[in-house]
Amino acid sequence: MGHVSDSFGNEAWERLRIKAGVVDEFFLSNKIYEDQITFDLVAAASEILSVDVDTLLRSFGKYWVLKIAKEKYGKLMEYAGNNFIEFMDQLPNFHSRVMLLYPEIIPPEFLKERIDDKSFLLHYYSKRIGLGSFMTGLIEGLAQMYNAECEIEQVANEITEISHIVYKVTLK
Amino acid sequence: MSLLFSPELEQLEKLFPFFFVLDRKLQIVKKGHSLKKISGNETYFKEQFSFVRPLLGIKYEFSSIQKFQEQVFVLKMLGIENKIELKGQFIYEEPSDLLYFWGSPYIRSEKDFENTGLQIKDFAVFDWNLSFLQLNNFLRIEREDKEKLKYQFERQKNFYELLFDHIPMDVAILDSELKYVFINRSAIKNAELRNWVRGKTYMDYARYRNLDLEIAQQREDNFRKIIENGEEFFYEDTYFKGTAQEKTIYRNMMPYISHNGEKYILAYGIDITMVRKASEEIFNKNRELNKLNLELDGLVYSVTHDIRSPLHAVLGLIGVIEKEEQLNPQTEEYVSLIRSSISRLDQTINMIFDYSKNARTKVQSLEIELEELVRTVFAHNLKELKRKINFNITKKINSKFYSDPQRIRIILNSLLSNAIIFSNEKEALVEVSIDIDNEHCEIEVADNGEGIQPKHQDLIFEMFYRGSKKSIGSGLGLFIFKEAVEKLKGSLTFTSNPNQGSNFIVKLPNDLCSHEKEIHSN
Repeated sequence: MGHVSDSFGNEAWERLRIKAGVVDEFFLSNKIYEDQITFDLVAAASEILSVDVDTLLRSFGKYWVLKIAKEKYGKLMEYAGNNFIEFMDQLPNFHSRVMLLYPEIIPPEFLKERIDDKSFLLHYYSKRIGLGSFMTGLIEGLAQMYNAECEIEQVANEITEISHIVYKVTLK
Repeated sequence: MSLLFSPELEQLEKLFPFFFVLDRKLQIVKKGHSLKKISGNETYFKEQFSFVRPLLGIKYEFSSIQKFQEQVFVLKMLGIENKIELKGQFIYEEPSDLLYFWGSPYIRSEKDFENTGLQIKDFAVFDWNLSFLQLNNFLRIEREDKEKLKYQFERQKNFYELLFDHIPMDVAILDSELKYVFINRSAIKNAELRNWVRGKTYMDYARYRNLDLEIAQQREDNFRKIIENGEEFFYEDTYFKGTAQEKTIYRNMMPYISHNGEKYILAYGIDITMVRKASEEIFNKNRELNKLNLELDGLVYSVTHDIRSPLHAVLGLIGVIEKEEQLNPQTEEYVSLIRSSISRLDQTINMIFDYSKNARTKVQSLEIELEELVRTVFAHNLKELKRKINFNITKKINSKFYSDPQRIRIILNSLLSNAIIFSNEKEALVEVSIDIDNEHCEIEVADNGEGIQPKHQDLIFEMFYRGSKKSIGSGLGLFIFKEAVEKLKGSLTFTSNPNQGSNFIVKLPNDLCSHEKEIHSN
């Protein structure tokens, strides 16, 4: 909602909210919403804003880190590490701890495998299919937050009952 | 050397009594004592636990668990009645090729703890679960208290709303933005409209009801003044004007500041239709009564005046006849009787005139030489009644006396004429005592005559009442006397014993004070 209204104006948000058939006029940070609402909003946004879904999800992932996460979880994120790599080490547990607080939600799982000092593989496991681009945007946003430049390459994308995507992240 | 066989394990077990150790075949080779208590002797990991977190990328393989070892694990215990989950992390020990799980139950509510068979002593002292249970208990109490308070608050709110709804007057509360916070059933009977109007302004309401928006705007401006300046404001609403159902509501709006400084307007409206009608009726009747009184006063004045003139002419002619020398004794007696009758008639007319004056004229306030006035009135009555009386006057005068001379004369005339008429026939005695101070004047008149029979004592001040054969008047004297005392805001008492005499005491206010004020202001 914030991303659309900040980037395209409140009117655009209202239009896509109505198009997606979303009743809520605003969303609460700690409330858990149906996944379908997210997918409906993304589909409607893509149509109204004439931006493809992947680009939209990627920009939303970046926006989420740089705007929402910074605003809502700023202090927590500061404590997670001194640089991008340290933060990525904590990423799996960040999500696990969210689950411990809100047992009814299903956050994605991560596994980070070190390649060398400058690169690593990030395994992303999720029951939600189709949010890979959003994840790419999140990694980009996190790198930008720590003033790190990196290359993100999707090296595997396995879809079964779950989505398993592997990103190779290389710091420049 | 493996930790499994080291003495330090015992200390670590104290910190993690739910720990367990896996070998490469995922066989549980060691359990902490608290885990043993709830899980028995089961030795295979897969039969004892299932993954909750991580779940999606992990396998029931030693190497897979090893890959995730840096992460938070949530394991669900299998084969036991209660749903217990363990939260912790795996640590791989290279020399022994073993995986250690260090953790404790994942408790999210008091219910999770119930029926597990676990006790506080089964946990490490530092374990967050214990603090969590305490915190949870505290939160539950707080939540229950809040619910109680909320219930209480709702109950009170409903009570007062119901109370206001049953008050037979319109009640409304507006906030500082001039929006209705509350409005009762009497003000708006339709529940839907009543709910709608909450949070709306008077202008919104006026638009909705198609009321005169100019008047509505004026009223809202006045509402604003109540909030800004704390001025009270009232107006009247008339409905169904000119019809049989016409009604008028008096509306009063007053400022109210709550304990936390928030400004409100308290408004109430009362149906004054009946009061207005009754007031109009009283006003009209009063006007009619005043007119009648004026006509009656005029009638009494002209009657008494017009009758007295010919009576005095008759008395004058009687005087001329009496001076004739050739009157025979019989005629002389007839003439005397005529004079006496006409004098009594004149006296009665005088009384009516006095009554009329007392009722009609305003109370004056002039300085009165009371002793002199007493003597004058006594002498006049004595001359009229042709009696020989022993007369004593005692006085205690500490102040000038201010009152209404006309009414004081009426009072003295009544007291003294009665004292003279009813005093002892053989040795008549009338005693007057005067006591004046700054506040009051007390006049006491006593005689030694026949007194008043007890059966007459309650009736002597009635109009036209005559309680004695000796009464020669109209029966108006004491009635007018009492009216005059009341007009002067005085009081009267009397005692009377048959054949011993009567004693009347009149206490009147001394109007000295207002005269002194007048002098000072001048």
